[in-house]
Amino acid sequence: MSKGTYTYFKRFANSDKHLAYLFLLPTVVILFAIAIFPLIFSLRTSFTNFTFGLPKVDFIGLKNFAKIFKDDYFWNGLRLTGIFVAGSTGVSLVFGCGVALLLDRLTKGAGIIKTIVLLPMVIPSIVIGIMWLLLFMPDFSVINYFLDLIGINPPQWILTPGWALVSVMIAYIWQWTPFFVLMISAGIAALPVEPYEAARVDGASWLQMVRYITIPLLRPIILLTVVIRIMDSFRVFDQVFVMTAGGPGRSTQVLSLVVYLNGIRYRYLGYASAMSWIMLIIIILLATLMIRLLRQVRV
Amino acid sequence: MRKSAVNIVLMAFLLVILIFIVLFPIYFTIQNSVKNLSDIFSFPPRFLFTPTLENWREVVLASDFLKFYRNSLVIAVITNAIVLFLASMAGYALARFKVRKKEDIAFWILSNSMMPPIAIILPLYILFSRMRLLDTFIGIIAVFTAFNLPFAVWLMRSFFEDLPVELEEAALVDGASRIGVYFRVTLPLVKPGLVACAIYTFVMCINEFFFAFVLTGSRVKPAAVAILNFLPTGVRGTLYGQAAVASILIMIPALLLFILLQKHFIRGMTFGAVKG
Repeated sequence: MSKGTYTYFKRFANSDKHLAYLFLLPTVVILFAIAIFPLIFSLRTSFTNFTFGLPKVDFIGLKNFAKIFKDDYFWNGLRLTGIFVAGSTGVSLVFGCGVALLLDRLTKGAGIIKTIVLLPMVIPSIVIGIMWLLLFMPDFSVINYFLDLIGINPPQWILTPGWALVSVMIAYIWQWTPFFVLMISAGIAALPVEPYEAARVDGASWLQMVRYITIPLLRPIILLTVVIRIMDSFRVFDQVFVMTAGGPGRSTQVLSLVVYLNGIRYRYLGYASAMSWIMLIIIILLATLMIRLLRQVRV
Repeated sequence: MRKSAVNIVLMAFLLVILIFIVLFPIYFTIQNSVKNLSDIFSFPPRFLFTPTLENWREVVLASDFLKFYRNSLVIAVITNAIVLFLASMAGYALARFKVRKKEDIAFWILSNSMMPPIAIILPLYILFSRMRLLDTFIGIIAVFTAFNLPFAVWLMRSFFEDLPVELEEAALVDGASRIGVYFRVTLPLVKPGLVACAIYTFVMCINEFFFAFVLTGSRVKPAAVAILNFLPTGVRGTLYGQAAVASILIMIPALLLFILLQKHFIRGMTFGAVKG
């Protein structure tokens, strides 16, 4: 690019500052109207006893928050969400790395196999829930049939507390492991060849190369993927709602579901808003971390 | 490295298991859609049975599912048009203009897409019920637009950044106006980006459940919510075969678009972190 046109371009861009703001304005206005303003409104609601159907709304200060910290359902939800997030992200990470490394070793047909492997992540969450509900169907579970065949005594998945959460996690892992495969495969494709050539000259085995070259080099993208998945699984709702609706008992009542039940089902909107703000703060912390990682990967 | 025979057999074995795990749930859903209830409720499961189109007939012809499917399409298409128009402008501004604190604005826009839906649904529910926007196309399209915009802006920006500026500069030197250059030179060049953005937004709209579930009712409910009618919590009892049919109808757009146009998908799915 010649210097003359460059300065011309720069001058022009500067003089058209208005145009830049004009182009950005609609997006910013919509986000303010539908995302930021409601959030501020919800913060205000969280300091009230707002209940749908009751005419009187009083400011009650921090009482909602104080009540949340004594609410068994909140702590139960937080615990289950923690287990869900850690379990599903961890297992997906291990499987995702494994599958990506396996695909990397293929010389033929990797493209079509990758397309197949990525399919679950474009299926709607609600359909994922229905699919796995059918697979885990009490008494008629086809999965239990297969487990029986290989000699494992299977549980009554969605009917047993404990196993119910595992059932949803399995569906979720099936849905989102492809995301790890996608990200890690892309990372592997962008790796430099030199370290591998050097390692090969030194007689390193495949496993050693994975352990000492691939994984360390992929650290940034793996971290980014993990943080994205943690954030996303933290707000899981659809799959739980369809498969178990929080049951049996409250053994799958993850945080989103607790907020939904309090706010939409029982109409305690003040209380539920306070709870949703606690979730929001956790997400903001995660998002800050994610944005920092994204900036690194993009550079 | 030379692969030993053992290695190859092991890899083939792992691949077969992998593909089985991925495809079996999809196959099983298709199978359920052509089973009658007594075949669905049998143990051990029947893999050989007389297929029936009864469930398909029920869902497509006898139920009002297609009406809700039409709602889905209306919402997705209109949302898409708005998102494409606005996101390409904002993405262009962030890619090409000198704006103060540009990076901060870009990341602020993106951060909106990370908002947990549950945090935003409660105030929207209150506000929408006061403004009589519950169960209206305007309401749900506004929400879908807001939640697809951040990502779309981000995506469009990355596509604009990949375009060389020389062509635009040449047109500017020739005396074209900035807006003229944008519509006549830049937008046509960024068509692949627009396609990617459109496909991604479309699939997100068809697949979305939570907002639609809370904010719509019998009038503008999309298919992803209407599918609940076939489940035990629905009003008509347990209709697993029909639920399977509805599932297939809902996932078909996403699966087809993904299989046929995969490379346009990848960038959207990876926050633009991976070039497709």
